[in-house]
Amino acid sequence: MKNILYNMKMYFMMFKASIKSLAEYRVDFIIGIISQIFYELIEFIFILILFKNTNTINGWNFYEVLLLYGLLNIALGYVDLFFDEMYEVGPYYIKDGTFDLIALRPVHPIISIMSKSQSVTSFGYIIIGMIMTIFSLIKLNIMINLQTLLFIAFITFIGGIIIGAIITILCVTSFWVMDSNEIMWSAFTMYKFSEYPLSVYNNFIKFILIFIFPFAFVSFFPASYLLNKDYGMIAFIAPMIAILFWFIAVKLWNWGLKHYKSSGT
Amino acid sequence: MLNNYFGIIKSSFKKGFVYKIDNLLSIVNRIIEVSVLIFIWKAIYGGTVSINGMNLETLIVYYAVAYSLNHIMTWGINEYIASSIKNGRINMELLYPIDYMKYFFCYKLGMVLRQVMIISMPTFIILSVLFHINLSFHFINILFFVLITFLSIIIIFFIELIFGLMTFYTTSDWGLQVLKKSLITILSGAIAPLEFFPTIIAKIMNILPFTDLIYSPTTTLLGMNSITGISIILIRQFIWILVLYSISKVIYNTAIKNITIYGG
Repeated sequence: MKNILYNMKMYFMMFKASIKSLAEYRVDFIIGIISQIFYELIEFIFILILFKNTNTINGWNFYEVLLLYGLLNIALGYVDLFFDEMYEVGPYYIKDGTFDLIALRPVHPIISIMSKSQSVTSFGYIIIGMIMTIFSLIKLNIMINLQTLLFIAFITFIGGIIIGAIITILCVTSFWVMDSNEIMWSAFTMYKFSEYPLSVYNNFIKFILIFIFPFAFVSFFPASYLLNKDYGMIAFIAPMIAILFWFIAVKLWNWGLKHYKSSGT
Repeated sequence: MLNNYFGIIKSSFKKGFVYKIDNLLSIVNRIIEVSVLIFIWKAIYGGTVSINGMNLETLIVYYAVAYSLNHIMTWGINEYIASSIKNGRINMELLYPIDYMKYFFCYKLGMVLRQVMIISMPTFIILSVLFHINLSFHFINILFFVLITFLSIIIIFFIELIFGLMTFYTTSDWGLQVLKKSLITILSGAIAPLEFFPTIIAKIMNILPFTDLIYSPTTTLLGMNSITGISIILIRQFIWILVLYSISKVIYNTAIKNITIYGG
């Protein structure tokens, strides 16, 4: 336990230093923001097009789907904020030998790498996600009280942690494959499935989204809870899922570390 | 001289084969994206036979073709140009005994050939099997599809060149790539056929060059365009090639002046 707390403290110290270096390039920052807005627009326009041609998708109306998308976006923001650097492990840290330095530090390598994340886009995700979530809640006449807000803040954070665990688990492949970022990116793309109600998919994809890559806990179950739909209460299992997946992630990392051979550079 | 061009095309063609996992996962990503879209539309169609004059089968073929093309149109040379400007390799490239633009056009051609072979074709074949696509296209439509796609590769080449050269003014090549990719995905008709957009927006999209990257070739292959429709597409493509060529020439000339001032 003491070990975990120490690692946590170190994480926040290093993370703060990393965020400060963001403000360095202003034009890049602006282009980053603009490009992200356009990127977000893709899905939003697609949802608009869908509902131009239909009133509901399996009983979910426009604002309900928007709520799914909003919750997912906030969670993706956390993922971007905390775990962005994980993508660099294979192609950067291990390839050119920087990983040796990190392995020698007195903190767990996961902590060292996570704290290096500095993503401009994360704040965009979180802000856009919050706007969409609040907007759809208002339109759906759902009471926004302290309880709802706490639930949203908590569940999206847990959602981010769950996706982070998936990324961290897949990151273990970096010890063998240098293109590991592509593998992680592919699995991450699965989040697209959670932009829409689970009921539109076939059983195979439902199974994957609940048990293998549990993206359903990031948006579908929390939104169902907020909307008083079936299966909403399952959202409260999410913290357990997060702990379970992180347990697996850390175990796998420690196992991978034992097999790590430096590239020699 | 012609030999040099073929040499560049060949070397650029071979380059990407090294990244086996990369290529495989690109296919996986496309399939995930298309599957989501198809599941949603299936749920929306339900019992309805046709929406906006398109039935579900046609729409599925549309997405399969569009997303197979999408990879060619969204991953191009702009990142390569950006990295060459960032790490100074551009100095070498400017010294090559071949024109900068021609060099990159050959590079792009080689890249497209590779993308068609190892990403677009496999993606399309897997999607056809997964979603039971009926592959009975008319021979004439296939010919026009190839012609329009070739012209759209020239259009996308200039767009990529412009985005790549922007790196002279900002180091955020990643941001520019996302911006380019997003613009193309929205405006090319990759997310949905133009018929599904609101009329006013569809009209604006029809003037811009982006629809000809994915929507026009795809609908032509599906036999949705008449001969007049195809001629309009071809004329529009020629006009945009001229316009984009001029714009990229201007940007290139100004940017190159900058580079000599700073000594490269």
